[in-house]
Amino acid sequence: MTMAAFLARRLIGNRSSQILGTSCSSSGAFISVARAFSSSTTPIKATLFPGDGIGPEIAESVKQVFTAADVAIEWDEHYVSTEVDPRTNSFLTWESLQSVLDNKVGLKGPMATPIGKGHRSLNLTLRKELNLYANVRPCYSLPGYKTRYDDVDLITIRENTEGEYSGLEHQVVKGVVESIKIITRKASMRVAEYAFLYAKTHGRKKVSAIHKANIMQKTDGLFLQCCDEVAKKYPEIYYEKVVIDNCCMMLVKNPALFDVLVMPNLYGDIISDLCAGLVGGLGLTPSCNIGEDGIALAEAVHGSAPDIAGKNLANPTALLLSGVMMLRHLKLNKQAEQIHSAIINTIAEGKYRTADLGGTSTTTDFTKAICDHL
Amino acid sequence: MSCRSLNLLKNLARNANGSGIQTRSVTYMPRPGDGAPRAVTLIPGDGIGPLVTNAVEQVMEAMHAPIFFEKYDVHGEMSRMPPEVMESIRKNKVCLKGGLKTPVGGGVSSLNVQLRKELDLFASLVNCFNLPGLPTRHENVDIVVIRENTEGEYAGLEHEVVPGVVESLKVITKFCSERIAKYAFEYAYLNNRKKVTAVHKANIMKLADGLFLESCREVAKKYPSITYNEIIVDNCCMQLVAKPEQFDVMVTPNLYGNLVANTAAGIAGGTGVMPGGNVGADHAVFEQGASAGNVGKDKIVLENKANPVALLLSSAMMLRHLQFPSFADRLETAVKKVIAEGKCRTKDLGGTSTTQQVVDAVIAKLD
Repeated sequence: MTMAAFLARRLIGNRSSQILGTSCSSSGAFISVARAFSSSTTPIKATLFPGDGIGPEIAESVKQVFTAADVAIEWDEHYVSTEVDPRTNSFLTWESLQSVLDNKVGLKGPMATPIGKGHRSLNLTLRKELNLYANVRPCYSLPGYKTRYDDVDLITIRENTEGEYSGLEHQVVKGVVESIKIITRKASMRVAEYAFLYAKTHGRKKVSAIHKANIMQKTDGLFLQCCDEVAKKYPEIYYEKVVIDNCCMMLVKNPALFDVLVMPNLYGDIISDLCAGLVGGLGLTPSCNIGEDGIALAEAVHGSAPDIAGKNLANPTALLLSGVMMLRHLKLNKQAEQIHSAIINTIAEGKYRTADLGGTSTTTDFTKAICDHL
Repeated sequence: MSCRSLNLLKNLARNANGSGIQTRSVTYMPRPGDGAPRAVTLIPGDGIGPLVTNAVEQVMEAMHAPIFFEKYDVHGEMSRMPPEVMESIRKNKVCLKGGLKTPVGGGVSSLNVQLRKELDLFASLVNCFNLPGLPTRHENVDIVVIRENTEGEYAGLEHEVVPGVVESLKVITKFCSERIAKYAFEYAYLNNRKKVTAVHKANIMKLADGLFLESCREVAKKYPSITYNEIIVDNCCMQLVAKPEQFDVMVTPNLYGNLVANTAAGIAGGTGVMPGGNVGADHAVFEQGASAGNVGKDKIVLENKANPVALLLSSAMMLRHLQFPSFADRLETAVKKVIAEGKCRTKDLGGTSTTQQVVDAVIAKLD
């Protein structure tokens, strides 16, 4: 990190926050320094994609809570259009993408990809255009919401651009299909660097690389090689390699064994959903996508739930916690902590809970309860 | 007091016995000559393999089961399976094996995978169920994972395109997908299972997993009494952790099957207790259901604390496969009684016994 950024961090106070750290590139660091020094009179611009289905309701929730907590963010809202934009070949307009590239932070609600051919899926568009290479998902047991697992506290970091999801498939002859999995040194190094940097900045003690290199020797072997190289630069962090089937088994038996997990695309998809299941499901899980040049797009990973859309029944927790991740990325740690505690306390209290958590409150009641707890 | 009422009381007492010895109401009638001892190839393997296969040998001895083992020494570092071992398996048709250690990242392809490909053992079956007396976080688990064993991501076709860029091919064929789907439905039909779930990621890998799903759907039409549904693999793992009782039989391609089987094994008690086997058209190889990260930790081997339950239950599966049902029942009942009692358990189940102590307890409980 550059000297200026280092000094700036010392000045701001390097409170070991739970969720996000800075990116590696120096331009990113400078931008976060600039932001940190912005006073409440110059709000930070952040892009907001409310999304479909329950998206607009929970986005409204987030806006209310952030206003109640005096967070100086100016939302730049963008919606998915109803026509394919030829410049992006998807339903996301060029302006939306530019907005995220300019603001460098964003919050995204659930988006339902319309079925059809000839255009890219929305998530794929965002990922490719913004070069979002790492998906960070912290999974921790929410005190007060009891699941079968009480001591979960781990972060899954998943490579987001290549691997099995390259989309390169073809039919060789009738009845025989090939799908190509690609692993490159560049992408693996990038995500490994981010994982170790994240572990260091958040005071995490262990990084586990998940792989199946006993079978896929060259591909996962290359991924492991990259992780090995990066691990050497961080001798104070304990590094281990775990085969994925063993990892699945250990996760369901004793999730406390893991701390930070870094893995290629497919395994990351499965493991991060498994971990979300351990703590209560996708309705409570925040996540954040990291891109080059310090871009961070926090998103709620659950679906758009069209069946409860507009009925004021949706649970805004996932989007709120993702918003908290976004605040920590912007170094607004005090307010992030405030909102985080408010959410945890509201859920722990148990008086206001939405239907998916077993309660009867509406979205607006839940939001109001959180605002009261601030 | 007549003998009749005494017998009645005895019968009542026996039926009221909770751990349920399976008394057959109508006897199993063998063909003449079925009691002749069958040869079974035994491969102890590496790590905990020799310990647990030895356990099986002891118990078979104690039961006087009509099988004898032809033991072969194979280790994971060998580049190929020795031809005499393959000969023996082809002759005997049935094999029992401990784990073979696969070196990570090294240039040798896994012997386990080689064995499966050569003998065309296209279906791998793992039965994950709650054992009475073994508390886990999840109840009512009884899942059978049937996994395609020959192609998919384990095709072993990798190459370096340019330095720093590596490609791996995942191959899915209609032929293999169809036969695994057929096996899964046939299994469900023969074992009175009500539901088959196909696990896939066809929203991303549209052609490959799409082909797999097509084959499953076609076969499902031929079994209208069995419910069929599909689930995406990441959602599947989440559901397994939250509500495992919704799953019955699961059919999956190669890689997902590995993950799902290990997750299901983990929620039902761990890899130390789940039986499994690989079967093809002509041969069957029985081994521990879910892999314990290769062959278990060295410390367990040194202290002789490996859990033999999984391989014992797999050998009970093998006895049923060989059509020796009462031996299978006796073995299974004895093992379940030992677990239910809870006095003799190895470290992975929360106890402190050694392998030998568990074996002795099982032999003592055989009736």
